[in-house]
Amino acid sequence: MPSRADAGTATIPGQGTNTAHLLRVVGGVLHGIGVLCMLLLAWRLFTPAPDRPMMASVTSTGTIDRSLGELLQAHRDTIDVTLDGTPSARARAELRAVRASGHTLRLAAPTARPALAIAAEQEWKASGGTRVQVVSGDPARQVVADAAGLIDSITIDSAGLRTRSGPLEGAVTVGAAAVTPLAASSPDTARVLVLGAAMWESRFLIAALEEAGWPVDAAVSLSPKVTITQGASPSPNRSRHAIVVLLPGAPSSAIAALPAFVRSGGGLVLVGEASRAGGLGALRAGMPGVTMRGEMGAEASDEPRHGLDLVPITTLAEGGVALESRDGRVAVAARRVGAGRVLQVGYDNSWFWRMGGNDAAPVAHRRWWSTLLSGLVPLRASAGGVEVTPEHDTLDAAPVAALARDLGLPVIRTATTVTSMPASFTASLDPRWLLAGALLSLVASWTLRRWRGLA
Amino acid sequence: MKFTFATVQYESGDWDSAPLLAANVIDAVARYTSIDVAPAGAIVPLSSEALLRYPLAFLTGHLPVRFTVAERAMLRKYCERGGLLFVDDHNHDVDGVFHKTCTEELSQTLGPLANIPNTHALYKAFFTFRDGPPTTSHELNGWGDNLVHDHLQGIERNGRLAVIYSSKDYSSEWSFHPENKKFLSVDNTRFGVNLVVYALTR
Amino acid sequence: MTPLQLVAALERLQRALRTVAIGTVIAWALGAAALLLAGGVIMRMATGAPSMPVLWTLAVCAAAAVGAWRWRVVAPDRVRKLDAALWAEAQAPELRYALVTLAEQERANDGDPLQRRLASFTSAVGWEPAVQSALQQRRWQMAGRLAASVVLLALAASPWPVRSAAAVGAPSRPLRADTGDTPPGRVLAEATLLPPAYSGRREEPLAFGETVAALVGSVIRIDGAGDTSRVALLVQESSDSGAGTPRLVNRAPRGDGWRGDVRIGSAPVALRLRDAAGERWLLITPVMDSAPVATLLLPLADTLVFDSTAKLTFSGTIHDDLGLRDTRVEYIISSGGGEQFTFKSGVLNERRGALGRDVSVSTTLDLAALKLKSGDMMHVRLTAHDGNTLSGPSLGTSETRTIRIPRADERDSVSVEQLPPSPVDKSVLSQRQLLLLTERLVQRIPRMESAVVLAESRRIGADQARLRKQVSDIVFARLGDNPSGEHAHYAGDGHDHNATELATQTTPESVLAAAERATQASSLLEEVGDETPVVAVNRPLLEAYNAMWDATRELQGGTPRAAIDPMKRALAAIQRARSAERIYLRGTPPAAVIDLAKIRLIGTDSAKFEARRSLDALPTPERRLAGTVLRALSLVTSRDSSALDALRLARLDALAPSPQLAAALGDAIDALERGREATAPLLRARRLALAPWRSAAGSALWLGGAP
Repeated sequence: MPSRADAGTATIPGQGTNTAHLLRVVGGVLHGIGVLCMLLLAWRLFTPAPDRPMMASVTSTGTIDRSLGELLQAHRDTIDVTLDGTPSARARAELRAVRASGHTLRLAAPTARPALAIAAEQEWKASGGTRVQVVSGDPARQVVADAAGLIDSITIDSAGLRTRSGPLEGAVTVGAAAVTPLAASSPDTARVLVLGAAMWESRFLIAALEEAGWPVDAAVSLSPKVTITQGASPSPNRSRHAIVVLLPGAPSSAIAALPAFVRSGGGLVLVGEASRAGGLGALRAGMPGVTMRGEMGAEASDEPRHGLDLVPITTLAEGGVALESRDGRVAVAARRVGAGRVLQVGYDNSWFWRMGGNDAAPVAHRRWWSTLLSGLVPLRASAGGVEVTPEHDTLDAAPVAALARDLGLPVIRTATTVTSMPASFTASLDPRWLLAGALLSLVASWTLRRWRGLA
Repeated sequence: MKFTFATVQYESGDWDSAPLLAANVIDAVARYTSIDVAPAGAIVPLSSEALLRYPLAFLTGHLPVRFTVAERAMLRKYCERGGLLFVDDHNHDVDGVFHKTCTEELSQTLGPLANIPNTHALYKAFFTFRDGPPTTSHELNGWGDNLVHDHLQGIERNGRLAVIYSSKDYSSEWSFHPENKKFLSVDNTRFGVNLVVYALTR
Repeated sequence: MTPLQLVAALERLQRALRTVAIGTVIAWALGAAALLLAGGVIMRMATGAPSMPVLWTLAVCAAAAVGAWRWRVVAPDRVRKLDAALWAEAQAPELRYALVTLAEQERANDGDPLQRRLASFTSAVGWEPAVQSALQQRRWQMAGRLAASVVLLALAASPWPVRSAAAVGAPSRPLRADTGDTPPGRVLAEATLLPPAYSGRREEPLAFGETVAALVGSVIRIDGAGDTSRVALLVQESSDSGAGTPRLVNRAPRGDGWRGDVRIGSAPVALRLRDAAGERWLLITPVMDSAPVATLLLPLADTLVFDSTAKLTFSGTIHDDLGLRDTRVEYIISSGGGEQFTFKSGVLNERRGALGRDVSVSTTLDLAALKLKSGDMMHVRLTAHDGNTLSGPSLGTSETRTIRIPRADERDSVSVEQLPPSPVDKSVLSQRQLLLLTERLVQRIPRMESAVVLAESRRIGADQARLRKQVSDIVFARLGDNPSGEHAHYAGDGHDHNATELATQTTPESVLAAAERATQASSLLEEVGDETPVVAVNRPLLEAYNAMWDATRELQGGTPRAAIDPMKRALAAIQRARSAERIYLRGTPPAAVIDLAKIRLIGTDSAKFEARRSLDALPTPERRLAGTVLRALSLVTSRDSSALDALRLARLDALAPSPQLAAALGDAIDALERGREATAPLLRARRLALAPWRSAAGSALWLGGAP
């Protein structure tokens, strides 16, 4: 017995056959879509959706667009931070705190933000050089140049590189990134106070600093009652002195004032045996070891400091950084204490380098001391709106570099990478739409079958 | 490293003519200051690199002074680096052969000598000598050239004295055993303290 | 044509040929001059010589010589009518000598039948077109030669790049530009180096753009053409504090030009000649006149001469870079000892005049004539002056040799030296002081309590004991025994005195015994009279030592009055010891080690001093130089038009403090001027000018830089 469908088909000869075929195909497709939607709905329902990172961004003013509490209480492990501006010291501190709370922070930056982080700073005029700090995500050899042309090529990685050169002209260019060095501090902020006993080291060190152009105050003791002074203030005074150089034999009254001086932002240089003075334990960059005699005649060699007596720095204090070693022993180390910085120079009687060294020795001795001290001169207060706090003053010279050091280098987000970075496919499927799709397609399929007389 | 008073030994002349001067200066330094001073002086050849370990050195004599090439070179280096050479004419005689030859050698090696003004920091480095260099008994006795010299002479490098030249014969005045100071109403070696303090602090 | 017309035509031809001949002579002369000039210019390009005035003079001479020779050969003044006719016959042989025959006639005459026949024959031949054509050809040849000569001359006379410019003559003479291309507005100028007269060196032409080494005191003379207002001559000195401000050089009008002189001092100098076409530079680095270098060859070292009548030979060499003015051998003889010396001096073999650059000196000295005594010393050296009349004359001296006449009793030892003042001298003072103190005490005894007298007396006694120990030290040191001598003890010295020590205490007898032992052990010194020298020398001291014992005993016993007599004897004995013969070995001054702990800060005089004053900062030429070089390099990088000038200034800056840097900058300037690649020399200059790039790995925990 023929069905109604067959009758229908029979009633529309020729054209009716084509329409029926079309309806059958559409019905099949709708059926398939409905089944697919149901399968996807089942997959979506039974497969846990991945944790979508929390989004945050550093605004053009350097602040984060979410509060610290919001970030810390985020239920997601990963927080994506987009750097739309240079992070302020506060923003960096907040991000470090979030990371310390166990979250994973991922930095992304638009193309305008360099993949290399560069900080450049002119040294104070007494040393006259430029300090550059560079951090890079990918270890790569980069060409360094300035307005006067090529300088050198250096290999940089995420551990960073500290470099120093003579004066530079204009902006420093590393690879494709450029930065203009911050201006040096004004001379008034770089006054040095030398404390010690009357001996050759004090005499030649003061002379070397003055010859290099440092403004020097001094208090040199000749006897318990007699001290020869220079300058208005023979005791450490933060409003007048940027740096105190402590030599052996300095009066104990001056030593007692040093911790407060350093914590309030002053620089301190402990020279040789002076690092053993009482009351300096919390300031030292490391423990002074047993004094070693210098190698006879080495003061006139290519390694002139091998000829000097050395009070080696045996154990570095927390945060201490070794800056120079001799025969595997730390000879010069530095450390930040509060807002100030401490430099511990193990060499004793460096004056003999100047007297007994080769032809270049007087200039080299002067430059060496000048360079060491220039690392202690505070940066000039930034006029560029960068927030300077005592704790982060130097790091603010390179906010991105500082952030990169702590959190890793930002991923560069170009226009292409933005479109090619969708969320995962399953996460994008909304169960409601899947359900609706399944229902609609199945109903439509059934309706067609009814129309064809099959249902 | 202690402060050591060094006497310069040079090839010509009698460099060792005032053997007790060093002891007297050391004694004076110890009497008035707590400078870490070596108890005995050192003798160092002028042509030797060892001279550079003694940024204050003393040179005296009666006889002609003729530096060798090596001595001249070392003296030039010593003064350029910051050393201070104290030269005293043991003859106390501006027409004497020590004066003539030594000033000629110094001028040839380091440039001309000039009078040190009596207001110089040298005379106010520890004790104050208002009238400049203290007069010696040899000047007062009329020995040597019958002159009481008003000034010392000097050669400067980078704003500080590199050579102090004296015609006052401190070599005789200070060459006695320090024990005998107790017989002096005024310690005549106090100027030696000024010399040492000047060298160590200026 | 009539005979007269023919003759007139011949005369025109004669004049034309004469003109062509003269033109040819001129072309020859000019060609010769041009060839010589061209050869000379090629030589100048290679060697810088000869100068252009010389070349021009030679060229004119050559032109005159060749012109005269060609005039003599061609003889334009001797071209006759017959020669013209013969030349025409050569061009038109069909004339068959008719024209020559006509020209040979004494006078043209239309009435002469022969002349008329010749004229009609000549006219019938129609020779004129051929002759005119040949004449035209000659004219063209002559014009061509003339033109070629003029072109060659112009080429040779035009400015070619040469190693040095032509020497300067009078400014009225035409000057030439110093480079190949003469831009519009360029003022012709030439520079000459005039060394100081005393140097005997000759003038030297200079080329702009060069760096020239010139003796201090030389003059750089710039001669320029035209009005002084069209050009500025500036001089700029370089020193450790940098290139100074350019200042204008005064110029004096001279003929149709001007002249400016610049004297070279001890600093490098840049001369800058600025006109409408730009700036030309001349860098001059000063060369100091060296002092003479004298070397004494004989005697080779310090010497002992035992024979005071010997003849000594002194020889040596003296060299100077320019020339010596005088040489001599100088000597000083010192006699005496202790504090008493006498001196006399003199010269030997003195020579004056223009002695040349190298002089050998050799002379003999008869010591007998100097009447030297034992113990005398003679200091000998060579001295010389150079002929520097500007900053000198400079003195050169050799090392000094000391020749000593030893004493008769010193001949066995070469280490015996002059006597220093003996420490005994200073003991006299203390003994005298002790005597004075004792006498004063004795005077005060009636007014003092006996206990006080005893204490005071013992204190003086302790000092007397110390002094006695010093005398003992000296005696022992001389006797070659234990130099520490007596181990003296006295009341209140703080020592524990046990019986053993006291038993070994030195006594006068033990000291005398030691003296005798030393006498027998020593064979160095001959006996003097009935005593050994050791005893003779030390007897006064031994007497003083004995007297001191007596004085000490009395003082310790509280009887100072009794001590005065032995103290006086001790003083007298020490006085005698002063004049006694003493021997002192070099290198062993008496040891005086201060007991620092005992005397530290016991001085009662209070210090009164002034505060220390700071020293001035030293100039830092390298930093300033680095800045100058950096700025110049940045101008090069930005392709600024003033980059070359900036580099030149930087080079001037670098000439004195850093010749290597100056050389690198010179290479860069040269490369840029020639349009070549300059990166390498520029990079080299940067590395020389700036502190090296130093790196240290690590993060920013410390931003103090890499020391």
